[in-house]
Amino acid sequence: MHIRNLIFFLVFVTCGVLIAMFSVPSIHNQLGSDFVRTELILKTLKDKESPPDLVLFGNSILMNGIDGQLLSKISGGTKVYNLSSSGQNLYESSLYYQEVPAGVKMVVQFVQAELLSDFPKNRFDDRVARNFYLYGYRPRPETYRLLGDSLLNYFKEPFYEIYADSRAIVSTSINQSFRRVLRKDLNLRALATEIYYPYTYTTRLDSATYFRRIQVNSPPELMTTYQVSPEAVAVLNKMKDYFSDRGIEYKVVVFPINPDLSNFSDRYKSEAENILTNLTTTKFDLISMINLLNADEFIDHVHPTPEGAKKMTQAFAEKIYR
Amino acid sequence: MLFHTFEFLIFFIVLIVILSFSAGMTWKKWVLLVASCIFYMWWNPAFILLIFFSIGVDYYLGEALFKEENQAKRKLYLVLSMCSNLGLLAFFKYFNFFSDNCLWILQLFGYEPSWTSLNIILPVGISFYTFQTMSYTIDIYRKKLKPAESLLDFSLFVSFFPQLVAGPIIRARDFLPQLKDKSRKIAFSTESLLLVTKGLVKKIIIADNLGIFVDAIYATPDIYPSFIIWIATICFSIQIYCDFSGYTDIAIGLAKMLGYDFPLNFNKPYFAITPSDFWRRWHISLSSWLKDYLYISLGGNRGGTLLTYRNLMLTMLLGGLWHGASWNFVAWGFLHGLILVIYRWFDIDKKIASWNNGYKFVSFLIMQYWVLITWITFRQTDASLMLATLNKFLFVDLSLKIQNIGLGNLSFFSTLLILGGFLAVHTFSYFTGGIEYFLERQAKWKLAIILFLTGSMLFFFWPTQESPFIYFQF
Repeated sequence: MHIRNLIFFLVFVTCGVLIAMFSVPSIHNQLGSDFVRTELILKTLKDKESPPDLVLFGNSILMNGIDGQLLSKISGGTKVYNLSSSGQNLYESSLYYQEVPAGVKMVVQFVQAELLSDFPKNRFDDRVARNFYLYGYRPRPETYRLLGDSLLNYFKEPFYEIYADSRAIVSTSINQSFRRVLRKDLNLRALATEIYYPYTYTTRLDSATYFRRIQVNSPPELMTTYQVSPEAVAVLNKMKDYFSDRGIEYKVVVFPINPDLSNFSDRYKSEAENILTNLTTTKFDLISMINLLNADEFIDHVHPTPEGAKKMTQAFAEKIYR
Repeated sequence: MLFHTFEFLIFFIVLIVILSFSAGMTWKKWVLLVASCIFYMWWNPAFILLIFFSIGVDYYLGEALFKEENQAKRKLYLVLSMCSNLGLLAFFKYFNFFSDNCLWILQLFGYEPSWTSLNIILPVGISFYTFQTMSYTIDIYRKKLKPAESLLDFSLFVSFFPQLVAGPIIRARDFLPQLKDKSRKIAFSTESLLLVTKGLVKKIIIADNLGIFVDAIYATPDIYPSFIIWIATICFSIQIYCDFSGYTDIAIGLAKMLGYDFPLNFNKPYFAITPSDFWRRWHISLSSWLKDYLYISLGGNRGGTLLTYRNLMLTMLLGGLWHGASWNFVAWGFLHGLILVIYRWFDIDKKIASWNNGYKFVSFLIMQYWVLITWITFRQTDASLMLATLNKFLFVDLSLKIQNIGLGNLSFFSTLLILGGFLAVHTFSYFTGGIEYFLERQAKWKLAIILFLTGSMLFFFWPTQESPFIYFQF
């Protein structure tokens, strides 16, 4: 039967699989990917030596939108960390909350208006949870209380399943490393190093690509049917209470919307603004930047230009420090 | 049950354990038959009845054909066999295609009949096992084959699980004698294990990963520059080759482990320099079936030039339609038929032997260019997407702009690496007579390293979403 042949094959192929599987965390941390920013944020928050005064969380719009050092200058020397990352929505930001060190005076969460309306979209997927897990993050009981078990279920999976699920790290790293070489328009170095102004988008898209993005990203009917979901209000209040217990102020800022988005009618502007204003006075401190920027202050459909960022930083400083 | 799943591994281990405890050939055949039925019923238990029907009809008609001396009655038995097999195929595979096209024609003439399509599920492997049973009765009719000695032998010939759902289409004259050979035993030879490993690498690392890129590009071909369409088309040609030949490698390897030999189904088709050369290398079991049972039955090249062209074209059109009930497969068959006719017209197959290597290389490039065009018609079932892809492929726009088109998220660079790796290994394999034969000759420690690396590669490149073999749908 040549059973020794079979054993020989099975042993070496299986060894290859097992060694590959157990090397997943170190490969993940060595090769790097767009998720490398998670590691930087976690390390920054764990550095208890000199905690910042102000910590900002949010997605790539914030990465491009607020200059922490400029904000610091305007405010007369407060230490501001911009700990945003690509696709970081409210729930993903919440994973970092347990790591926010004592001594921080204020946490500011930036959100997109549509994610306050379509709130389930704030749930992070397994890819995000896997990435946190591989960087050594484990949710503490306070985070389970804040986010609930269902959102954090993935962290309870056996380690070998998480390693197996993470097997695409090699091909992901290959694709993202090569992309760094070709995409000169992206400042990808900032992902791994910058904690003040980690902007990645540097040049405005050419007109054709810009308008294609606008067209693709204009959600029909969104603007006329917009409503902040009650779930969003409840969750944001929960976050506020959590930080309040820790002696930290918590604020929520709504990003500017590009006026070129075809459905962004004047009617919507006033409706959305009204809703947000009402929320501000009745529920929690919510700062709206919805109407702040002009179309030419956007690089693409959502990300601000450096001029747009300057305007956003100044407007933000005015609201925070007035 | 797919070959590259955990459930199949368990199934195969249990089968080997049972077979190793069983004595006698009849017992082994029964075990294999039952295992084959379980393998097939895993997908849809009801459709095993179709296989039993096909087995029953062709086994008894085969016996009757063999015993019958009267030519008219023999013809009748043959027609009965053809009708039952082609009837199954026509109903399950082509009924909706036929009815939809009838409806379309009626609508062209202004009729609006009340019409509903039947929701017919295509039984997996039906195109393969019906061709096998048809070749059995035709061979007996042509007096080239004696009937199977028992219903058990014939049932196993039709339903033997390694080849049941996607070939190779084996011939009774090749397989039935093996069932009588007592020297055939379970054997994990290095060759069989390497074949299975090679098949897994082709399917998992190459085909499935290239498929992710192809799917993304072919979904919106109009937004990409021509050179990306070219890369995607080359990727698809490699994907379908690795997907199908990977399946075949595993099937041949598994059969070898169980003690049986299957014929070669692929012989490095992308090294072909003429269309007939291509068809001697691509899906050999189907192309030889079409030649033996369709082209020759139509008259082959015996009826003069025009009839030969007609026969070639009909064979390729029906070969295209065999792949699926859709006009894009007909177009695929037509393009292959057309190039065969053109080459025959200019008698290139005969002239090429005297050409120097430069001309042969040009012929190779022309052949590959044509094959790539045909793959676009094969892959793009939607007519507008097919035309958009062909437009970009044929009328090259010379744009090299790849910024801002999201390639970083489409596995573009890992795709290029896999593509480069495949081309290097495939060329090496071509000049060394086959990678498995090269590896077989290596020292054990070298083979151990290669297996170890293969295991690691399989882990890292195993796609997170399972994709079945492409030819399962045929």
